[in-house]
Amino acid sequence: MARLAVSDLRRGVSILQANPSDPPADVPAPAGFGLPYGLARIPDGRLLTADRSQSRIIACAEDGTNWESFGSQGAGVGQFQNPMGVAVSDEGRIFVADTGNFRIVAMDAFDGTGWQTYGQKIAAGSVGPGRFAGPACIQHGPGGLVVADPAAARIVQLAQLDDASWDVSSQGTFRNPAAVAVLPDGTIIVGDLTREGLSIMASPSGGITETILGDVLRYPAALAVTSADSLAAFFLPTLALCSVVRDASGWNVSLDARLDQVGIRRPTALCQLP
Amino acid sequence: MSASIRVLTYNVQMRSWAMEAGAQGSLTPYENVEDRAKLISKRVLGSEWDYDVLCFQEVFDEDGRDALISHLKGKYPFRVEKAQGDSVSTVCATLLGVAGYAATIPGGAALSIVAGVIGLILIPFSKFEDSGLMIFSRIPFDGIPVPAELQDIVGQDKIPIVAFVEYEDSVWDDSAASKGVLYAKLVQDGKAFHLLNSHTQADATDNVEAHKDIRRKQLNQAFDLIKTMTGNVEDAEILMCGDLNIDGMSHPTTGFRQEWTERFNTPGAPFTKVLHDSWMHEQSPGDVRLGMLTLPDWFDRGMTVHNQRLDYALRGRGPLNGRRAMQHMCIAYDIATDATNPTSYVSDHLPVRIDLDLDRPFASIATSEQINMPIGSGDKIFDGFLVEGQMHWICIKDPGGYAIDLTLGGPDVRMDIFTADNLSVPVKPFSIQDEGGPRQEKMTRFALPLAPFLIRIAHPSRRGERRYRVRVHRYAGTSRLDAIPLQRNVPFVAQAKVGAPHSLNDPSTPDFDEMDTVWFCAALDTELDGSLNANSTISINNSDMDAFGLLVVASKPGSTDLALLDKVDAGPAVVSQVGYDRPLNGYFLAQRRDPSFTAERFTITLKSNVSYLYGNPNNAGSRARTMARLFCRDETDGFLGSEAGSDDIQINVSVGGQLRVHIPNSDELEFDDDSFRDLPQINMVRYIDSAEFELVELDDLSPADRTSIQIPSFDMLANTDKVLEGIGASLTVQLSLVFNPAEDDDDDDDGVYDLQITVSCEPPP
Repeated sequence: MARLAVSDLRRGVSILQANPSDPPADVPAPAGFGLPYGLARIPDGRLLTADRSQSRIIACAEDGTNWESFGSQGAGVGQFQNPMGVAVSDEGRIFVADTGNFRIVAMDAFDGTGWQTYGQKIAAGSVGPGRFAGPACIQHGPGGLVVADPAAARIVQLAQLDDASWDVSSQGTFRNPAAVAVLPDGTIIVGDLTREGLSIMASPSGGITETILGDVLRYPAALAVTSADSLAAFFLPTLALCSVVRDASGWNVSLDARLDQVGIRRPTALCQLP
Repeated sequence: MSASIRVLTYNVQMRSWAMEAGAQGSLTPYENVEDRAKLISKRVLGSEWDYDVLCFQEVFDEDGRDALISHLKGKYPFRVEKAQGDSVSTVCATLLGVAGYAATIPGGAALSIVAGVIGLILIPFSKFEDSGLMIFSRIPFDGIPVPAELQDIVGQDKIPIVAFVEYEDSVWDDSAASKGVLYAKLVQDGKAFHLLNSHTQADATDNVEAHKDIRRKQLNQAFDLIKTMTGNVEDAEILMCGDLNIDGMSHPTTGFRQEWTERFNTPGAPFTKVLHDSWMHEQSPGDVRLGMLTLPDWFDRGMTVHNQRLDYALRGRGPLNGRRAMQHMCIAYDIATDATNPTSYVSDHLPVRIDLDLDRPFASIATSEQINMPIGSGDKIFDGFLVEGQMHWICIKDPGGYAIDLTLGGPDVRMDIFTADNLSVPVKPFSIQDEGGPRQEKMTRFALPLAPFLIRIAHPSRRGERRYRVRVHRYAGTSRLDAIPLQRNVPFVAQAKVGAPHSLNDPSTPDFDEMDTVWFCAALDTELDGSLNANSTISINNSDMDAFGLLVVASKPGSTDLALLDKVDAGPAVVSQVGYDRPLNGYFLAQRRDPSFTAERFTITLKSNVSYLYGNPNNAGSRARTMARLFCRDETDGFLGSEAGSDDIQINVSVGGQLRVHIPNSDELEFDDDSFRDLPQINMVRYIDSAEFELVELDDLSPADRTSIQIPSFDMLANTDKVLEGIGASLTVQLSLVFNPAEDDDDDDDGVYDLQITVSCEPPP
């Protein structure tokens, strides 16, 4: 299995072992870390997570060194409100799901240079492009940024952070999409917390083309791409960590571990490590 | 040593973070398991009821489990901390019960004994969750001696006799948990006490009885375990408790559910013939017959969750061979609520206290001392001794106004009055205010117009012996001091002395002549600020010769002297209406116009246009029958049909446009489907005609974020299908609120809540 980092509301960020049933190694963190949501890696190799409770983002190495935080609570430049997702493009651009501000933040670097925001609060009669009810999980892929907005029950893909590229799933496609992953070929995989299994789509507006079901799959809560044709996922309420692999026969799911059995009881996100 | 055993059975709703996140559809679920575990522990340790054994269900969260163990291990050294298993567990039971001892169980299962902790079962499992069952006991577990040569290996000289059987059948989310029945053999005074704790298959709240066949198989498995472990079921002392997910309430219009009848009231069925449902069969106040499908309206139905009684004690039938008596089984409000922090919610179930002791005369409700107290029978004095946890129950069969006081006993003895429609919350006194008038000794007045009622004298502590004396005086209405307290809305059949005046004129009341009257009293209550136009209607229905008229008098402002408010001459229908804008002590004098003093009986009824909402039974100034609760049947839909997150609820209660109670949103008012929250903040609200109860959903971006209902007056609610429990002046009612009945994608209403609250016509004590 690929090396994985996992964020946990109690333990902070941990590194799962090659055998994920072995006890994980915690990434040392200063006191008062907060509540990590979302995981990604920035170009210098450090892990990136959003600290929801303290409205900031954090970067650090796997051994806890080079710890750095950016942002404060608010709605201005350099500020976040309970962020719940992070993503990094191949070019190294950092994206933050600024959940409580109903927007996406993009930065050229961790220090906030190139700060750009996109989006505002959804409202009755204003549900079109640029409107979010609480963007949570985000992933960057070949087609741009994919945003899960569970409070609006929809998935959005943005080739650029502008209304012109807004591509949204149709109403009723999802009820509570909380997790997304994008394979290198652009395939979007969505986990809906009120529906069993994983949904496959080529684009949000194209709708669901395939559904992956399996005995251990209940409500998918977090996804991480691990190769061109595979991803890792964990599910609620079982906290089953699974590998999901695409081959000629289709999608295959295997159970790798129970996260709660290795002390990960409140996981929120996964990320592949080199 | 005391024979008293006090058991708490409690579904503590400690689902794991992942279960909550899955159920709530959110990675930011509201969950406070550790805080609730600490609260429950604190309440258990602080309770005057000094529990011996705790049986918990639904402890799935490991942090919650750790918190319970951490806080309770000092008092409860004997514990089953975790039980989980598959078919291997049957082997475990067999080995322990029949083969002798087992340090290890075939198949890799192990019985682990951890430093000072006896009875930790750890068995490899194929389920995602364990059973959620825990037992804490300060009564030792019986053990099977370990041969000397093995004691170093086992690390203990005895193997505790504990067993766990996982139920073979389960469906739905339950199949992810290792649901089953946990057994422990306790020993007190050298005698075995077979304890079982179980949590059976659940149903959806909107599809009760859907899985009754599965529960039947599960209970059969439990009975097999009981037979295996006890050997002789008929003679053994057995207590099986837990959340059995079988609705045992007798519903007002439909009676018992078929499943309850099949399991617990069918001749030949194991849980009818050998063991029985203690709530229904050992709590009877005397005139409930086994086999009746419809119980009297006033019988306490024992609701432990939303409209259902799911939490049980099953025991052997009858106190044979030294088997203990069920002294009292009740909702343990000492654990469900906290007088110092009443808003702290702990579980969607209510805990049940099971109080057992040696069978003695009058030790239980069913065997209570039966007393008739006709008017003029004189005071009754009950003298006795209580030893280490014992109770004495007295059943008074005559309705009326009484003074009941514990005149000897000290702080270790408590005396409480219960009516048969509520065996958990004691009756509050008629008044705790100074009623004025001369008094030679303190007397606590109770209005008890519905009989039978029960007096419980208890010595909760297990230390020493206490002497007690209870005095019961029945008011005859011969004077102001002897006035009979009236409860509103309950017609009271009264009688006057025959052959002589019932009372004499008092020269100190020159405003009126009270010669030959029967005195009644009631607090005439209204808002202190005069904002309610209160009035009361007093009527006399003459059954004897149209002989009784009515004087209405009340205390003068700033004085205990009385003034005449109204006078109605005798006739077929005697009715007086009095209005008042300040609280008064009212007296109603039925005056006989019969010089021969032969007319004897009449019926007097007091009604008021003021109604009350009560929410907190633990408050001395409240007449709440149960805790007010809000239940979410269906949370509101968010934008574009999303159900992500929880409903953030805020509550307002208003009367005549004036806000009386505001409960701001907090973590404790986060709602998802099927979630409960207590509302003790609604201590008391007075109203006329209606009170508005409003829910505001704060985090929803939908415009349909408010809903409200007008709670009708007591008179309008009584005798409707809104009444869940109760009779007389205080009723538990259920009222529904719907946020958006018109728009919904699921063919269901959107955002549906049920409010359960006490509506009363009686003012606070």
